[in-house]
Amino acid sequence: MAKNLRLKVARAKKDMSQQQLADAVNVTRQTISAIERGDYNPTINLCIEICKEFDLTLNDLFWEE
Amino acid sequence: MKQYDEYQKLMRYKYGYYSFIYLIGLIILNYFLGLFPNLQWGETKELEMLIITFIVVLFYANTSVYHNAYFRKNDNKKGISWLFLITGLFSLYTTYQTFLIMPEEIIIDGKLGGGAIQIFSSLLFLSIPITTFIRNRIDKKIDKKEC
Repeated sequence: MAKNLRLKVARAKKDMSQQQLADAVNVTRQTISAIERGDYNPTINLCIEICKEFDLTLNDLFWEE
Repeated sequence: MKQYDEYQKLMRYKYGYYSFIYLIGLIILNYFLGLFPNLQWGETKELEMLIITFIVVLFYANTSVYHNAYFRKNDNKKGISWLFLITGLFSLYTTYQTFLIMPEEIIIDGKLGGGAIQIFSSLLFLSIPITTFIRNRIDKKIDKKEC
């Protein structure tokens, strides 16, 4: 699986750490790290939670072109 | 399971499944060991089963810890690890004392005795904080690379 750089960029834009994002969406920091590294494909529910946190759409963060 | 997040649940199910396969494999292997070379390595068959179970539990606990699926999000990782470490060391020490006074409790006629259970439980307690420590070091390295 490819790295999710868009999530990393969105997080950096908001000046958020992995831990802060993890706390906001109620998962562990390692889960966020695994998503960014592309080691884990999150469920749609978690994708939506993350998108809500950044005010972005699923296409913006998770759609692979 | 409710307090684990989805990635942790996935890891727990994955390694739980592997552990189950290993348990079946070890039980079958032990059965054939007892059948053809007539090898009995434990004092009783029940003890052999218990030790095999301990080996699988050790595997499951440590792979869960390594993949960050053992402790829940709000658990005090450090506190629990220290508690396990102290318990494991104390348990290992008492096992050693038992071995000095009554070695037949652990090994009897070249076969493992009931005292071996104590060794495995000490190993279980000791291995969890050690794996946690290794995992933390690896996480720190990954974070440094990513930053």
